[in-house]
Amino acid sequence: MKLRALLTFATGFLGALALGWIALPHVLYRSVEQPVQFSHKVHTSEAVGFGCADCHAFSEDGRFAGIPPLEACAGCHEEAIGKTAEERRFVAEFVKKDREVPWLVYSRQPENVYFSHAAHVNLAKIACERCHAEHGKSERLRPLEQNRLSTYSRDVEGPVLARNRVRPAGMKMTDCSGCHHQRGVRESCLTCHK
Amino acid sequence: MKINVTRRDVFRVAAGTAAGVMLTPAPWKLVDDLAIWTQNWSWIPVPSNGPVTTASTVCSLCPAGCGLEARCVSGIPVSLKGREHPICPLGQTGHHLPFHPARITCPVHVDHGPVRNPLRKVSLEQVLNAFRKKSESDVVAVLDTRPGRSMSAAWRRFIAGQPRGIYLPSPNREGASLATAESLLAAPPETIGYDTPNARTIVSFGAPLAEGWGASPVVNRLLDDDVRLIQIEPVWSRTAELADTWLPARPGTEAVVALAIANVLLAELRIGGETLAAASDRAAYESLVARFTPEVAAGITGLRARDISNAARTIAANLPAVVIAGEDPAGGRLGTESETAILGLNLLLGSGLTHRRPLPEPFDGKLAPALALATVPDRSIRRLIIDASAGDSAMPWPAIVRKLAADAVVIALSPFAAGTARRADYIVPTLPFLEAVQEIGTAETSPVATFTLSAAILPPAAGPIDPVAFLHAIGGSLEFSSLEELIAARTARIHAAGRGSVITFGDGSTKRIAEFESADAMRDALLEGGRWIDDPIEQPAPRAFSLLNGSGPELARQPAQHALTLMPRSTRDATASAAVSPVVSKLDQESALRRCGRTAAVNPETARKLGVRNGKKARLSTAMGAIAVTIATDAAVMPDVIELCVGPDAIARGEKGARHSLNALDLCPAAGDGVWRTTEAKLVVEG
Repeated sequence: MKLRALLTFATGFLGALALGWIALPHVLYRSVEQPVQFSHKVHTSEAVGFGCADCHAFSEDGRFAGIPPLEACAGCHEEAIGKTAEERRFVAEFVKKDREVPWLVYSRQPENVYFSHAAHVNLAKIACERCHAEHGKSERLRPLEQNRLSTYSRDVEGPVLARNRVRPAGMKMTDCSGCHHQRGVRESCLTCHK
Repeated sequence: MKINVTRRDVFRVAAGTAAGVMLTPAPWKLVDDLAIWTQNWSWIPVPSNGPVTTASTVCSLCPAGCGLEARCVSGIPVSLKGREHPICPLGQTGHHLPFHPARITCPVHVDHGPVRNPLRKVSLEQVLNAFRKKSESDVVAVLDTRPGRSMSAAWRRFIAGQPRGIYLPSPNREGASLATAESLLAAPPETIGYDTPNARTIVSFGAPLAEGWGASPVVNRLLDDDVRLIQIEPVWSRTAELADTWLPARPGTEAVVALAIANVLLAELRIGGETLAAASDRAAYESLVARFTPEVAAGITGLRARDISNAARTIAANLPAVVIAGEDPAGGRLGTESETAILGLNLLLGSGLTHRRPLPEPFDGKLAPALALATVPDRSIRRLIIDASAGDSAMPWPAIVRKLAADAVVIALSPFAAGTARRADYIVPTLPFLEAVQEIGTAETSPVATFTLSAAILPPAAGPIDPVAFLHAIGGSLEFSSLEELIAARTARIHAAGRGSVITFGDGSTKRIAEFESADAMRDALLEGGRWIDDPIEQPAPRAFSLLNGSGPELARQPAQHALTLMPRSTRDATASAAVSPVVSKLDQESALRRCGRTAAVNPETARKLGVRNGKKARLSTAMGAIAVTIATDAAVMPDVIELCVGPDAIARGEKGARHSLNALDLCPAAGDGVWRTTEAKLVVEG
């Protein structure tokens, strides 16, 4: 009788754990493909020789420009210079039509977060990889995993669910806070949430 | 093998599921995400992502004209902060106002009956027809809530051209009491200011100096160590708290305090004798002042005689002094008699009031004189235009209604269907702060003329009507086609006069007018946050003046004492705009940093006597009506006094489905001279 009681309780308990830890992330997040594929690996290879800052540049007043505009890509890709179908599609659909690529940004922080690349990269000399991990060497752009409810990128969400499949970055609040503690940098709520 | 699933098994599985779920992220994550989801609904406006820029402008929401720095994302301001000093809550949230729920972008007809939708869209033609329907011989009046602007000059010219026109500046504005100084100094009120920059003692009769009053130099002077502040008012206000001396005189006895101070100055300290010799009513004044010894005044005002004497000695030891007859943002003026006695002290002390040049008008020509609302015959106005396009002003609506004929039509110009404009029959929308260039002229209390411009940062919404275009539509004749042109003309006049300097924003340098190549160059500097300040003038030799201004008999009478005196109170940022950001309501409704509108503060002793309790509802009534109020007991309130907080109502706060109701100020009957500072009231427990 006791075994039966234990088994029935365990059935519910384990079933809930499985649903919560395995099924929920699949239901909660949807995968959204990038509008066009892009290889960071090719662009940062020795043959091309770009560094991060060549495309993701700082403007003269110190502000970080973020994702490069089409104009920057079109400087080299006015015509297709490689052999891939994705590049030809990029040139035909975006460069020729002068249409900005609606890139999906993995690291886009919520509206209530203020983050300064200038303070972290230029002042603190933190390497891009510290937060963006090996993204600069990726061969393909993985789909953006977007929370169906909050619409936030899974890369920047809280630590619990985000760690299941995506492990490239440290762009969650706990990561920011942990790094600040590690480096002895003062922090307060209003530092990031203006 | 057959398994019998019992009810007990189901409960065990459910218990196991509940325990298991708690160890997964599901409940916590879903609660969090659902909270975020509710903030991301498609109809909730979100500032777009884009370049972050800063823009300079000047706040035009009240006459102080504080310099602002706007942080913009994609050109849309997302935060405002003071450039030279911290700013008030209204200014900090000024960029919310163009998106306020009470904002209107097309003309509306206001139904004042108990209807579900009181605002009905109408065409401008319908509004004009309602205005034109009246006879040409009717009395046409313009009530200007922010006088002194270029648009005010345009209205005054329009009124001057009417057979029976009246121009009415708002009866409640800072510096309104200086109209009383007109007869004391024999100079127009627009050329008189308080000489606060040179004062070593500031004697304030109820002016909320530390809570937003006058121009910023007044507040700056309070921060100087060598300046003494004597605050005379029945309320333990923020200013009273900061003052060196607080004299809590009973409401309505301010004139007695002023006369008693004059008594000590003349009889004991021998100050003012020379000035007195030039007064046309010297004998009457001396005889009146002699009656109000500190001992006599103490019996009337509730102060101690030695405190009155000490205040007079402090003033005498720290000359020059300025004596201010302060207006309350909700309570308005003290009254002509009180102001005469108070402002007369300045003459006696030989300091305090100063002459300045008036700001150049944008055009030449005859302008209608400014009349006081109280002087207009009752039930005489048949067409009233309320220009609330540049801001609002708290005033009891019954004081205006009694001047209106039974079939009068009232048209308001305002960006919001709120505040005074909400009382009109029709509201014509105008552009709000940040969507149009606006001007901030000389504060009425300022010792010198000043002028600056508030730049438009936001693109203008489609629909609002330019006030100048409206003026043309109702038959006004003006050589300008838009308000911006009109303001530019005044700027050009200031430039052409060649006087004064512009303090430029950025490096804080001062540039003489002559150094600007053109009026346009000066205008650009003003639009970037610069401020023009006139050169001080040589003060004219004193002319024959009257210290009593004919108020002798009234001053000699004992002030009326009420069993319970109602005093409406507010702050400038709560009354200067018809609409406030819903975020500001956190100050009064959530944090209790300020008292909420319709809160009646009473002394615990008075509350006990009346049988009312803290936090409970009560009914406050006067001869004008009754409203429900919430009681707040406060030992800082004088016994037998009710401090009624007048704040933004539910419509002004943008609450959904808010209906117009009786305003707290509507309980205050404006007396014969248009003053509603104190009113006799009753307070009874509700239900």
